[in-house]
Amino acid sequence: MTTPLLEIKNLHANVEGHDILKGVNLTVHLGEVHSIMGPNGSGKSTLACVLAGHEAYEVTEGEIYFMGQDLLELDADHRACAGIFLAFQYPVEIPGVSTKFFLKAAVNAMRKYRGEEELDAMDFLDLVEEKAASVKLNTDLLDRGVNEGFSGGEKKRAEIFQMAMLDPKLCVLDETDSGLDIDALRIVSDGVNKLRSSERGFVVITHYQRLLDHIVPDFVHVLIDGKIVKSGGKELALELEEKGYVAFENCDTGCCCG
Amino acid sequence: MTTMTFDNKCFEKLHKTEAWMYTNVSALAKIDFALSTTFVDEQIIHGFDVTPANSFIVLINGVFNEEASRLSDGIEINAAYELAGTIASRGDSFIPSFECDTVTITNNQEKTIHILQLVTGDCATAASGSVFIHAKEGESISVAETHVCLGDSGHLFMPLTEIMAEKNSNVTLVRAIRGSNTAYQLGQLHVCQLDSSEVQTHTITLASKVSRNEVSAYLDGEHIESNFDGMYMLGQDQQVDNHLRIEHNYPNCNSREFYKGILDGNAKSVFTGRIYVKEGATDTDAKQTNQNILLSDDANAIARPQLEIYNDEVACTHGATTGEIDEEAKLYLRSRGIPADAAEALLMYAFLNESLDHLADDGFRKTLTDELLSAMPGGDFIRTL
Amino acid sequence: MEEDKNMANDTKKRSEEIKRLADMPDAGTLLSSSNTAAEDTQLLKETFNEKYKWGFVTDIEADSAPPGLDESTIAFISAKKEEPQWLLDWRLKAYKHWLTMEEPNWPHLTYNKPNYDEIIFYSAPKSLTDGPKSLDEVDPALLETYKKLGIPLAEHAALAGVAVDAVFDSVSVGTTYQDKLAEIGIIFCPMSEAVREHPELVKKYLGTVVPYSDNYYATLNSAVFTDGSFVYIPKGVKCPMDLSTYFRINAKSSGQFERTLIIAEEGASVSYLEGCTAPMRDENQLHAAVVELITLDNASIKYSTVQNWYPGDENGVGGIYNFVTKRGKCQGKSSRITWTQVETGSAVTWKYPSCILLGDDSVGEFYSVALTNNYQQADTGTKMIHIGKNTRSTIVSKGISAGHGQNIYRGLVKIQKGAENARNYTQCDSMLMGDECGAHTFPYIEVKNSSAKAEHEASTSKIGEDQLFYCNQRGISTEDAINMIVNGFCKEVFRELPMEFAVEARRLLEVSLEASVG
Repeated sequence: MTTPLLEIKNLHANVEGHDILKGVNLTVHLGEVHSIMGPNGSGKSTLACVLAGHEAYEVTEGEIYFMGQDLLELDADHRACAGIFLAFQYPVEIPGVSTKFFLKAAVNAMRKYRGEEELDAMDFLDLVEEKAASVKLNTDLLDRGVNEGFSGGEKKRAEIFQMAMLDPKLCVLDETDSGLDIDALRIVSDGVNKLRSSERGFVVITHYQRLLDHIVPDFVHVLIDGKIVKSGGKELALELEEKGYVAFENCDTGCCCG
Repeated sequence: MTTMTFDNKCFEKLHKTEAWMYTNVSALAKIDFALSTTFVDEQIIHGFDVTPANSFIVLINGVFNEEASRLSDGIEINAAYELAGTIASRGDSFIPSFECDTVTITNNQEKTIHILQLVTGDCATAASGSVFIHAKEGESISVAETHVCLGDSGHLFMPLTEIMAEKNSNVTLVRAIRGSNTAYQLGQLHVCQLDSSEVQTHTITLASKVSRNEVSAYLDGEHIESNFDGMYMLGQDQQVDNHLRIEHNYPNCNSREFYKGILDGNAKSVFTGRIYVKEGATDTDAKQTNQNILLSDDANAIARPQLEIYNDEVACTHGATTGEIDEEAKLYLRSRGIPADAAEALLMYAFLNESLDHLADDGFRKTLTDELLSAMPGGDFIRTL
Repeated sequence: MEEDKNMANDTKKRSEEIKRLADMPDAGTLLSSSNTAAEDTQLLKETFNEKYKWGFVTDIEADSAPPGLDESTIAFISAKKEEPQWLLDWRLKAYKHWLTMEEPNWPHLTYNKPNYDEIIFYSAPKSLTDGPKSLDEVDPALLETYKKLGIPLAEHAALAGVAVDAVFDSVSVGTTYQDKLAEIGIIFCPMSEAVREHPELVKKYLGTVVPYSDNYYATLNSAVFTDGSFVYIPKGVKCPMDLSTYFRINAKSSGQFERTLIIAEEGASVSYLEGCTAPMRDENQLHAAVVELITLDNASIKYSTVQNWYPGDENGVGGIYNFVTKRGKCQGKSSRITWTQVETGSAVTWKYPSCILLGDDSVGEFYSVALTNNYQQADTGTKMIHIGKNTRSTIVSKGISAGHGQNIYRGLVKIQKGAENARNYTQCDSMLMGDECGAHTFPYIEVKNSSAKAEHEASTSKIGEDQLFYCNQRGISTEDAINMIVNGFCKEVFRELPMEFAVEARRLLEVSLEASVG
């Protein structure tokens, strides 16, 4: 068996003293797309933040391995360099810092981490144009400050564009579908689908099944009250859509898995 | 009558200080002010008694007039109140204070208490008058003060109001300056607030030659709401100087300073609003705004919206704008068939009336609206609407 | 005839007006707070990892006046400079006036007032006493100093395309490109040389923007100014290269009092750069300069400063007192003056580069980044005086406070009665790092014309945890993220700087901020 891309074992985490994650187990291999679904407050976004290394979240128990490496030992920027990308639910604005400049710093930080040569401006711009086209992102936006004055849809598209630019091993999408209309959803999903490969894994966090019509997952996990209560194939998402989360609230891991 | 003296020489060099640099009251140093009380015709007092169903307190030249007043529970005159004067003493106002009667207001006072302070006399008269409002835990007090100098002898009025708002209390204060356009009004308002209290003050200047309205607020607790707003409509040689200092001493408090006015003739407005945020007063949210519209080339608006911040967890903004009536808005109204004059009057009224909208008491508000319309160009037109 | 008389009256009225307006409020803003005693010693230790790298002392013999100031010192300076009688008289008039003045108390600053009896008012590197004829004659130790400073003085100048006038303590030690500029009529030389070679221009303009009686430090400067740059751009000439001055205080106990005068005739334009450094010393040294700019019809001057005087050590010991008066007069129609400053140095800064917008349609601009770290204090801003019709001004001020730094924006916007349709836009943004520093904004907005519009906006912010996390998540380290965010914060100002200055400014900010957060 090859080393998993991501291995989460019995993960407990809290924020400001509140226990949010209460024993999450999850294994993701290269090439797989896992969807994590759950009601509001179930801990979905917390899981994303813990994976990315947000300092406000304290891991109290459990382990996370990323390509065999202990992830909890790494700071947020080193996790990013190691290949974890988080597409934020609410990307923050950084006024005055041009997106291009920001991305160049990011791309080169990662190349440096991997011991590669830094990209020069020409190669960088070529890369920008190629990737921007793939998510139909207007490159004029890239001369603005990071996410500065972007519409909701533009922010989400910019996140997928950054994902394409940084070429991560593991992509974590935190409710990327929220606030998107149907056209924007299609563009974002197309962008993600283009990045699907045997060299990459995905964790797609969503509240609704509709995103999964576009990004078809290999596995679906239901997260309720800080625990994965049920796992299954893509048909589980449809079942959820039909029955609602309530039907799953009282079952523990494995109890209703066929 | 008690004889009182105060040293009016203190006004001579006041304008050389930073705090008074735009308001020169050195003329006051040369005037020999009378310090006495006289008789005021009942009809005059009656004319100012706009809320006959409410408690009404009348002070004439700083002396309580029992006959004309209607007291209720919680209102006392010259009670030996320990706290009186303690809030004022935290500030560094240059306005002198001298002996006068003190009105103390305590208990729950949901119905607005109206305080009328008159200054009158055949020659230039100086007077002071003092009000202390104390809302204890959970209490709510509403007070409206009317400050009026009668006649054109050039009186000097130096009222002092203090507010102590304890935990979870709520105090609303309206101060309206009306009456003579030859008078000097140098007023002080000092506010101390404790946890989760709310204070709103409205300072409305529609008269006097020079009016200086000082406000000092000490936010000595958390989760405090403080709103200080002001409005002025001045013409001729009138001047108003709104001078505020809000001190954020604890975390999680919100304060707002919102002053706006219209200046015609040679009128002048000075706004100084300082927000002071102490170290450790995290999550402070403070806003200050001063907006002026100049109707004449001889009018003059000065704004000093100041921030003094010793903490990085704050959201403080200030804004000041000065200009003409919004041409685009005017054009819009005209495109709907409204004549230019009327459009201007409407826009001015809309600009100023926002401040009056916050006033709860109908009788009081109606009077002030009326007074505003009399002072405002085109006011008669608005009345017809 | 009648018209002429009216016009003369108008002009007279205006010039009186200007004189009156020139003074900042002279009353005192009391200091309401000082730094707390509580010290985060660890933060302090980290903060000054990167020592002031420009703090070397050049070991050369100096020819100095004895410490202290009296009429004989002034006569000494004037004689050293071989000045004409009128200039000596002017200096003495200023000195007599200075004796009647008091050091201002209104800035929001705490410092020990300089002891004027201990200051050396004139210090010249000895090897220059007779004046260098060319760069070859300059003391090699001096040239070495400039090399350390990174000034492209000699051959470097040609490559960089920058003409440099370098002022070392009190004298100007070499002006590059002088000959080439002279071919198109541009005069670019040390002030002392201009006094000798172009007395009529100096006499015509000196003190017309900043009169000898202007304020305490400007008056002192008028009495004792030692050198500085003089620039004259004739009618219609666009200066083909950036002109530059590098100032350096070297001698112990010396003050530096340079005076710069730039005149752009009708349709002329010039971009002028100024940089400053001083060695590390544990005493406070005084820098009281005066800069006067004059633009005639359709002329423009862009004046950029990167100020990196020694800021004192991490405990607030030593450092330069930077008390500078800079003022420009847009005398002609449609003329323009732009001040851009990046202030990262000095223990105490007191400085308000200003514009008097006299000509109709003239434009004044002020772009500023001021950073205070450790115990630095800066009280800086601008004055925009609108007198002509349709005059416009823009003020963008970015203050960054870290450590125990106190950063004050103080600015006056004055729109006079006749300034029809004048416009001002002011934006003051403060960024605080840590909870022991202070950021203060003291704007003064005076509007006397109903068709004028003045707008003022201010904000206070800090670097958000969520912004840092976002950057980290993209692989960018916290330190880089801070630099990036601070740079973004200052962007509107940096883009006003000439390229090579912008690069230097960024680098200075990074060094000054090292380890002040996180």
